[in-house]
Amino acid sequence: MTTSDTANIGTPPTKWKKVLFSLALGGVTGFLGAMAFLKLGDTGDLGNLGPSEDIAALVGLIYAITGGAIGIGLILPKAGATYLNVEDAEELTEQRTMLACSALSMLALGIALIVAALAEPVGTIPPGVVVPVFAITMVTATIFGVVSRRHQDELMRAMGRESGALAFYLLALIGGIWALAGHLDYAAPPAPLDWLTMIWGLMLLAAFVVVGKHGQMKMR
Amino acid sequence: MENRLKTYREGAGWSQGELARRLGVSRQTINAVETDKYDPSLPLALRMAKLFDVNVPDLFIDHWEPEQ
Repeated sequence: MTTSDTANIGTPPTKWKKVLFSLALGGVTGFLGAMAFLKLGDTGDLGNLGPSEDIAALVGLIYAITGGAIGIGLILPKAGATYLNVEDAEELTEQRTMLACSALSMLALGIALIVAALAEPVGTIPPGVVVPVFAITMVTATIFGVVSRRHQDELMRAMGRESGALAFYLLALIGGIWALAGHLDYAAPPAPLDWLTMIWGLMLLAAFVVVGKHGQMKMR
Repeated sequence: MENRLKTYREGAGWSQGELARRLGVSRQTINAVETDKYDPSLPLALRMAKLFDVNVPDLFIDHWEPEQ
């Protein structure tokens, strides 16, 4: 055996059907969710939301939908295996605890950001409700996140560390530039809600980048 | 880092899932190592070598040479 024997290892053909189905399902679900939210926002029932609140709520919605999609995939593993990046339904069952905790954590994080986005005075949810809901969902997300991590193996933990570091650098870069622009009066500075949205959004973006870097975006 | 994990795994007649189960890791980890997207930790590399009864350099190929 020579080292050239290793050159062609592990390059199975891309499952285009599954890729297209997952993209279509994610796209349609996200589009419908976003449209429903924006329609509801237009009615004024959610208050007089501005771009900051809209974007925060939509980012929260992505978290909630992702958490929900993983949860549904775990409840119905055969269906889940058609759109989640696993080899088969058995793989979902093998990782049930880790994925369930991860899904619940994402759902809780999504709810936290949505509730923050809909808070008074711009939104309609009074601070007396927002604060406890935000606190409970954050604690819930932390607990499920820790439990999920305990069930992860070294690749997943490594990706978690990498994405955390990348998210921080992106936050420092994007948030830092925006804050500086605001400080110098070149632009409106980021509002507190914008910081929350950046933290949530950049965590997600960093996770996608790191997962892709480790070849986990390729459908199996 | 180049490696021959897939060659040894297939030689043993194991699926990625079977190897993952024997090593106590996820299938994703085996897939990522085989496709050169992840370099395993030293403990995992040692376990892989022990499982196939080979030395770590037989599994993982490092082209680095010390300066003379």
